Amino acid sequence: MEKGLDGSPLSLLLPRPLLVACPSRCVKVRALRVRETEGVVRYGAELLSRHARKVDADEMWEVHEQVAVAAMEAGCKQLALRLVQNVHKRFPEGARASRLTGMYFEMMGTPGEAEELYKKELEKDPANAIILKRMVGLRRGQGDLAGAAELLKQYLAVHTTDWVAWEEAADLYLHLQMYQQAAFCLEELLLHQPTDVGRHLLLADALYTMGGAHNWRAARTQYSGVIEMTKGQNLRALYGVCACAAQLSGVRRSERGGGADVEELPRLAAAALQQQYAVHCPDKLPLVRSMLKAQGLL
Amino acid sequence: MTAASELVLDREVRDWVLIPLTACVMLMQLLRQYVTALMAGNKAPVDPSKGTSEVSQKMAVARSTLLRANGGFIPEPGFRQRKQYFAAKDTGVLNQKIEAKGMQEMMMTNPDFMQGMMKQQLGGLLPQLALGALVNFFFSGFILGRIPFALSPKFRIMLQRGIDLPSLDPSYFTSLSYYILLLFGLRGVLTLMFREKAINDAQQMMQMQQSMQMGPMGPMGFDAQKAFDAEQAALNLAEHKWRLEGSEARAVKVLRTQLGGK
Repeated sequence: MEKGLDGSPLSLLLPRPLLVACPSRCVKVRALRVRETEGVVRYGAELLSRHARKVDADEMWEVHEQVAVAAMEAGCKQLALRLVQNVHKRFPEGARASRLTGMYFEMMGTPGEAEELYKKELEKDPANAIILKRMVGLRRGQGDLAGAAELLKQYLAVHTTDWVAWEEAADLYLHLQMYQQAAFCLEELLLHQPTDVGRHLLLADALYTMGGAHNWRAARTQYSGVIEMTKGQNLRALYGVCACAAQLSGVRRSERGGGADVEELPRLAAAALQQQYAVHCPDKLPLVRSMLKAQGLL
Repeated sequence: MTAASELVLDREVRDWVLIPLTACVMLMQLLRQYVTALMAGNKAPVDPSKGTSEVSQKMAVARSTLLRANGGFIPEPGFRQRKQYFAAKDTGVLNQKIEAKGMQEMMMTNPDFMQGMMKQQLGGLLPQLALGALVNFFFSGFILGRIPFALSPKFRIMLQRGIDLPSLDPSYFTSLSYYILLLFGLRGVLTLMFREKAINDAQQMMQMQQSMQMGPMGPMGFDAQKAFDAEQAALNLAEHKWRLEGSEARAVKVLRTQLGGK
């Protein structure tokens, strides 16, 4: 009998209506692109092992792929192996199947075989997007961040509107401490999703880290924008404004930019920070106060 | 309707016309189904380099549009850098000359294109012609049956192809009309028998007509040069105005109300 993640038979875990809802659930997860690993593994495995006949042929293999990827993510090696074998048996050729098989190799810690597989696939079609992306993932998994960034750059030269790839590139460059490039990628992300507060913060952080008066000024504006967007609830932005002010206090007044408002901003941010800490976490208030004192804002 | 006008049809007509005709058309449809599947199966892969360049051109246009729309959210240097990248005088991406590919050239450089088109058309046309000739030769001139309701004489052209008898009641139909009916009506039956999609004559015809109207380029022709020119003109007009400009003052206002309110 098929066992669930925690070892108990799945049919006992699941009430009847849920079993019926399995296919539509998988479809929904796929359509919304949510990451719901555990649910997909649990319901998907059940669906494929027992109710496979209810799913039509085209859909079935998509569910296979989805569940296999989720299983790898969740570390269910047995399940993943079985599904990958199924897929491989049905589609011995083809990039998508190779990708899945390669991912299995990667999970099992034999990236060499995965790379061989991908290379073979790329020989057939050098512009295959999913395999190119997989190569980046492979390099990153091996710890070769610079190589991954290089491959991703080549990929992005063609597929310039793939924002997920830009996100990955930004992350890679941040890890590599190449802030100029990271800032570029983050700007590209902002073009796609202009109201994402997290991205604005990351860009501000990158600008701040790069240093120099004009970068600090830009970072300050960026942080202020986030304060404006979140109605002053975002602590990271408040911290950022304080830090920028501390850095800029060592710079000539003419380079600081802004008028009376700008002079007042860090003080207000510091007050808002203290207020937030006083409400939500009074224990740590002294730490914040000492930090602010060091920045000359108290 | 009087009893005198009722025709008695020979039983042989059923055995030698109705059943063979149905079988013929069905088998031919089956054959076509498999032949098209076979031809589609060993279609050669498209030349990847051409695909890539077209993809990158399309993406460049999309990205530049995005830059115009949301450019206000990124700082000035970033915007200028990107604008430079797209619209610089000589080196800009949108300024590159794209060698226009005529239809002629496309056919010359890509024989697959022509071959594929011919295969497709022949695959549809040839069996149809053959079957039409066959049916015309063997099965024309029979009355196969009668539909169970009365019709006005206008339907005679539709139902009584192949025989010219003005005095015959229009509700009788002939073998040729039956063949045409089968040709277009069998798809539903075939889809019942196959899991895969049965070929759809009506759809194919519609597609063919559309592609005729759209001109030979059809939907696959992405005119990069035109799109680039338009996009470049639009981008040159785009001014950068950073939306976060002066956000410090607004942030001060926000914080003040927040601190004052509590």
